[in-house]
Amino acid sequence: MPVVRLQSVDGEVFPVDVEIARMSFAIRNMLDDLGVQDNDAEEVIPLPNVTGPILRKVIEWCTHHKDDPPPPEEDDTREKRTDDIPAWDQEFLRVDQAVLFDIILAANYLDIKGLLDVTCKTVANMIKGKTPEEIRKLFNIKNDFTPAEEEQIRKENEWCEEK
Amino acid sequence: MEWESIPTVVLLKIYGLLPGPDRLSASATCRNWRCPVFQVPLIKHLNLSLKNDTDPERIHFLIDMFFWKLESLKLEVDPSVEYCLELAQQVLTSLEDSPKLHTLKIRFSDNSLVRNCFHPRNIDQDSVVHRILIYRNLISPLLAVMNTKNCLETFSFPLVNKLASYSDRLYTSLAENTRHWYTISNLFLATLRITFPDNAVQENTLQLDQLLDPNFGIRRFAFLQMLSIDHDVLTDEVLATIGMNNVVGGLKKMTIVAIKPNMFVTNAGWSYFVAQNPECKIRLTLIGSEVTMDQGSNLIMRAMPITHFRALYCRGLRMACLNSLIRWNENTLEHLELVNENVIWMNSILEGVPEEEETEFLDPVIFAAWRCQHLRVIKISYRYFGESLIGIARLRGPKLFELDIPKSQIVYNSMTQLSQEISKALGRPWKASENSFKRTPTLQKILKKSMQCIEADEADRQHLARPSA
Repeated sequence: MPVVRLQSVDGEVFPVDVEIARMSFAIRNMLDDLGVQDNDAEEVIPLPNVTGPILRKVIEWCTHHKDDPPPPEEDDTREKRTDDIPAWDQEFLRVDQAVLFDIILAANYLDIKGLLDVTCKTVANMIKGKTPEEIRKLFNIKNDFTPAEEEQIRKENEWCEEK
Repeated sequence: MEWESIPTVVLLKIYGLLPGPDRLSASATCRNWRCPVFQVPLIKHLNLSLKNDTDPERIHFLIDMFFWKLESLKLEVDPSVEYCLELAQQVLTSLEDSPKLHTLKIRFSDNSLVRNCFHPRNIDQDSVVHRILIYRNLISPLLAVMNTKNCLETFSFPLVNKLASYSDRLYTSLAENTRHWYTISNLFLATLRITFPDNAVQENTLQLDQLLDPNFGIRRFAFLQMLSIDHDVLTDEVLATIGMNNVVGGLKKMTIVAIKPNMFVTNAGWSYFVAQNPECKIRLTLIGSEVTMDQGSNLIMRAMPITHFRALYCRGLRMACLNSLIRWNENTLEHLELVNENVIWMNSILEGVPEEEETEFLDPVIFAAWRCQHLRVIKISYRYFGESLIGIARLRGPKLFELDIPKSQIVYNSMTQLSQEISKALGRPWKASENSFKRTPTLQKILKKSMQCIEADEADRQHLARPSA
């Protein structure tokens, strides 16, 4: 199996099967743009936005999911589910908030749809049923609204929910 | 920790996974989370009720945030209040920015229904001014919507007396816009033009000439699935055109509201209609005391496949006629509703001169419970014997999904015992409903009840998998 080398921002280099690396559309595009051939195993692809520990997690996820069927097309009309996260992924994402955030950023930057889907679902599940204050606490978000803005938001949210 | 600075594209994805209330909570945490919250359509279906005290700021906010993705709108207005008409105009003109709008329903508030049906003179004092207002703020923007929309599937505009004179304009515009011929699948035109003998209002003739034109009217709508219409505008000729050019196998449901007898429809007309619309099921609602269902009124015909039958506040219903309805529809009838709160059943049947053929003293509800194998809902509201209720429950058993009667209408010595008997027969806990009942129903109540029925029939509209053109 041909291999590419992925280099994290902190200089760590990970040899990865091409097929696994190509699950990232960003890497796939880079490989295609560079015209990398199967035998160019020495090629190093720098990933300036991803740290070593996170890149290791991402590669672990991709390796586990390398045989998944391609995700279905986005369908606007269908009710989106968040209760269908596979058990392995749930265990995999049992990490602290900071790591989860970095995995989301990496999945977004590397354009790995399946990983982004499952991390967003995890975040959605964390938000569900919570008040704004609880959500702020959970994600350590600073309330930067002025009192007037807050009043406006309260009104707008009421308008949306009024029937 | 930088959750505030999460990329907008990711935040939008998360918002897309959250139900409305959770999304609103999340967006109330910080500025960065607030900004994009309305970029993922939060509301695609909107019920707007315009009243005297409606906050215009709210209406403008909803228009700004949600109309670009709006798919369906139900707009309730009170056409006798100038302020409501002004807001209605703003709402309707803003629909210009809703390219995906497929459902538009106009409703009139209960108060305005009463005003329009009963006290036309109050408004007529400045009738010219008011008419101009109605035309400018309601009819004209509606015409613009009808002329510009490309994908309207459902249109509902139950007219009341006062506005009946505008019906032709609207329906002409509907029938003339060729785009609608291939998109409209649900057309709800049934009206509430109720008149009572002591409050006769002249202005209650519907003009649907264009829409009912045998050559150009309803037959143009090739995808029509559901139609609700008043009985008094139907003729054999019109019936013959419904479903004529239909490319989806004819109508599936037809809701008919009858407020007066109609001599222009015959059983032959219905037979022809059924041949053309073989899957069509009919829901028939009789409203108001002007409807009497004796032999001559032509409201019930043997050829009509009726699934839902309602008689609301009708007097002079003949038992023999009801029993014919039941006999003819023993394989179709699902819903039987008889509401007449100010008369005792026996009196109501025999109120007219008892005719000689009225020899059949068979309780129609019991008869239906016995004969109609698909009967799932029975609602009655008139003085009724507890023993008969038990009999009905035993005949239908658990297959009877709903048996509704106000407690105050039941004649029986022990309500507890009655509940027990019926619960046993139905195989689930049963209780009479608590609806208070007055000896004379107010007009408001009749209109409200009738509107509820029309709404209920509209609720299960057909979603059609359209062959891609």
